[in-house]
Amino acid sequence: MEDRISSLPSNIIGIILMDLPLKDAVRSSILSSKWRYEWSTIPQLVFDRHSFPLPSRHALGEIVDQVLFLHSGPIEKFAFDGYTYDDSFTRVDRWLVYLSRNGLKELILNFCPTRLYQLPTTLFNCQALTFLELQDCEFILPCVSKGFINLATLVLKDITISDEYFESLISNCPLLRKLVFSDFYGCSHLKVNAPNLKELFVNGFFEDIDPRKYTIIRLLYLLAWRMADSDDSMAIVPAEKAFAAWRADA
Amino acid sequence: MATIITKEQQEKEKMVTLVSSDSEKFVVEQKVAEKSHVIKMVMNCCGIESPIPVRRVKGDILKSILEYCEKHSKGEAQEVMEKWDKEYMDKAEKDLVFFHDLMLASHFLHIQELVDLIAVTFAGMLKMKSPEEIRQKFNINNDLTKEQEEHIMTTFGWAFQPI
Repeated sequence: MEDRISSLPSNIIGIILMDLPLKDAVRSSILSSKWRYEWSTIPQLVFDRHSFPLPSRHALGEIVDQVLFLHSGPIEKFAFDGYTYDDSFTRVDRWLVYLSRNGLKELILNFCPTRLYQLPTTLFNCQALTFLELQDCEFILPCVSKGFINLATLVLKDITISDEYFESLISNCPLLRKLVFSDFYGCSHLKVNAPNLKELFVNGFFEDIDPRKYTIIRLLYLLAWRMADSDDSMAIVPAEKAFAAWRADA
Repeated sequence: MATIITKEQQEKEKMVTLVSSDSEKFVVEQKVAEKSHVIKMVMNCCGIESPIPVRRVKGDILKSILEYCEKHSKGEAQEVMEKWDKEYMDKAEKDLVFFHDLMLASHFLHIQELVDLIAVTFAGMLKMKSPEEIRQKFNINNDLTKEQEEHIMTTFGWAFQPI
């Protein structure tokens, strides 16, 4: 049998490698000279727990540096699971600068609850983003009144953010359709000014969510929330019902 | 009501003939052929009256692809489709030459769903395998020198550690 798989055009090999964990994709470089650099143009770079379990994670920062340095072409998706990351955050800042120049559309950053990542303002240079998920990060820099003009989905978990910053961020994402806001700190009055919002999941303790804003958002159909005195189970109810209940309580 | 049914019947009767590279003819509904973005464009500009030659695809491959397109044009439940896709792939991947040609053809005909399905199946064959196992399975000739291999192993040491 002849070697058929190696005779596939590079763009098809690229599609196949994209479905592999990054580690397996990089390992394919040793198959033959044809395969040596095939991995380096895949547009999705995922550094997750599956590909990088403990204890191989100690050099994760260096590995990401190396992969970004050797990569060529656009990077549409970048995911970094830094739950054990104890290296310098300036390294992460540098990745964001690099990624913002490569047409990044999807960004997922997770860190550790005991060591939050202070998001740099360079994050806002990634204006091609359509999907952004941040966990264990903090928006503590002065509010910059910036958002993401193309962003459709925003997932914020265990985030420190002020009321002012939250309101400014959301109102500067005009195309936002889905917002997940879970276990947040520093924010208690949620002002969501997002005319295209279709899904909203809020999970956490907050004093006030401005219902007047929502009466104009007719397409909003889901709300999951946990009020201070409810149990731990997450409630998912139709928004109209939730707001009716909220108004009755208020 | 009666008019609507007639219209639906008319829709159903819109058939198109596709001819493979080895001159095998396949008569399928237009909506089945439309699953291929390339054939759809050809139908849009040239109509469906004359047979459409699919020059780069052989009969056995085109037959299999049309089987996929027909199933995927019915709008069945997701679970049904997933099961069907799995069986379709299980059968196809048994013959690597056929499987390779199926990938090339679906890419050439621009049937994105099928390309993605085959890519995932291909990736499954490479996942968690040692380079030697992969070379054996696909008969890949390793033309790297010992020095090149060592260089790759040193540079990407992290990728060669067992999980």
